[in-house]
Amino acid sequence: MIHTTLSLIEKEAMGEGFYLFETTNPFQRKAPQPGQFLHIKIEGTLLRRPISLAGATEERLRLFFAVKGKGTSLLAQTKQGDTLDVIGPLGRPFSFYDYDNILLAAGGVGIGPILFLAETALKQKKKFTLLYGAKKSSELFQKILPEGKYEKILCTDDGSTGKKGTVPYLISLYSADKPYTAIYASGPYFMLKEIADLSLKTGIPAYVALETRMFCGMGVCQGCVVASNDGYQRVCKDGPVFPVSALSWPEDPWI
Amino acid sequence: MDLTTMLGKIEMATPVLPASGTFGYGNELVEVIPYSMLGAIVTKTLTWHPRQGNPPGRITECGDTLINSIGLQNIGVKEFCEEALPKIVRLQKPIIASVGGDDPDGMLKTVEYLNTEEITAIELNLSCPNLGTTRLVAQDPEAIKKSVANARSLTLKPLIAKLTPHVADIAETGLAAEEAGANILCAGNTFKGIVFDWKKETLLAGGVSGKGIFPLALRTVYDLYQAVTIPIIGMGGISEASDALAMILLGATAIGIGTTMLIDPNLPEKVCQVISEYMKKKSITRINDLVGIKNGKKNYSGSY
Repeated sequence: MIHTTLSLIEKEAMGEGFYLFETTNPFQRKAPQPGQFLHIKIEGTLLRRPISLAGATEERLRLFFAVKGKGTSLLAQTKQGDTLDVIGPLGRPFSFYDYDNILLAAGGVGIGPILFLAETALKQKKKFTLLYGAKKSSELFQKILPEGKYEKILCTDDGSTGKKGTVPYLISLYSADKPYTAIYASGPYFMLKEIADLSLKTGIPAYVALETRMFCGMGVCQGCVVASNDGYQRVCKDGPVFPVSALSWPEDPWI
Repeated sequence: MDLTTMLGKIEMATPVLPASGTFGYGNELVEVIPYSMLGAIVTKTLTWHPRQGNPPGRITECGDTLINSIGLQNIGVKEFCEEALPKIVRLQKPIIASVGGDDPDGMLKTVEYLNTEEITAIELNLSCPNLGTTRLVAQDPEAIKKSVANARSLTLKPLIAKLTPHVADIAETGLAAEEAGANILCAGNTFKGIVFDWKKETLLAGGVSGKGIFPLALRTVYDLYQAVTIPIIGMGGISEASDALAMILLGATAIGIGTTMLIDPNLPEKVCQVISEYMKKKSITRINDLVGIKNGKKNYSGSY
């Protein structure tokens, strides 16, 4: 990790309150990995805000986020050419291990890290299915999905685009006759919790990228912990990617 | 400009310290924070047994403040000495080990365990607000005396007593620590507070830190300097370099930065720069000569 600045090259407002940023890539020595995030200083809030990386090339980074509160709303006002003060890349990334024929599952704004992961999977010539769901059609952004050879399944809660149903529902439907070797997911807490249950039932290992409130983002303050089978773990440093089997999944989400 | 600071017997390259609890075990932030701008390493508070800390949902931002309820999660002093200490020794800075917890015997055992040559000084954290105890040691002059005197009997190292701002008169608790043998006072800890989360309709009770508490913390430094004769580490809400300088001018020999250093890793450098410029302007060559000159205490004859 380093403390540095980057500048916004392109900004695209998508649907209601979603943003795709393309920025310069200041991390020349250590390439960011899927699942990692940047801790971004926001003018107008006290704390930095952790934002997932949605892609990286040698020259550019992509950030995808949804406006959820004051921080993301201020971040959305960044203009082309503006400089952002960032610390990164942070967190433990996804790893494919030796898995092939894998399922990448994204819900809502969770498509950010999954996009990055899908691009990496394409580069590594992994066989994979991308399952991407959102509440409704206007929150499902097909044009940001990478081109290439992979199976794509879209779904919406109301059926307005793709299959009707939630991401976990469709996983349970599809994994019955297509034995994926592993599931990689990012999305809202309850989606991940259902995937954790499913993983436990079917024995298919699953890895998820968590999102929670953070303070330092660098592993020192212990503010962003979640309960695991081995005490509390820091989302920023021990995660944000965890195997679902390592965590306990309380009824109450962490944030 | 030479910013060599004598904090009692501790010689430090600068007066800037990380605040305990915001700096991990000491070596984690080498890639991000310029350590050359720090006077010493301050560990997070260590306890005799490892502590799991408080349940998740530990932090919330509230205006210009941060509320936290970590609950002294730490690996315990033994694992610290095996795993972390060798790494921070390599950084070649004075090491201030913070010790605490809700178990007085454990705290003393920890002090004894840390009485090794690698450790420069020991901070007694008498004021963590997140341990579920209704009354903090640092709120009771007699309890402070007992804790400090007990620790004093176990080590000759400089002892720092970390006080709480939650008292009627911090001069009284500061004097109690001084009388019992503390060599240095740490002027504060977080303020006890509560944030109400309307989304979940729950509360988070914890310690309040960050920019918003600075005037409150500055007052504790001022009041302590009026009363005690031992050096003071000022801390609480320093978010601009000039805040740190103000604390020194009102009586802090060194200053601690916590919350803001994790947001702005360049703050220690900015602090050193602003202090250097001020010394140049005032033709002062020793930073220790700045301490308290605007407090108006004792024989100081200048205007304030």
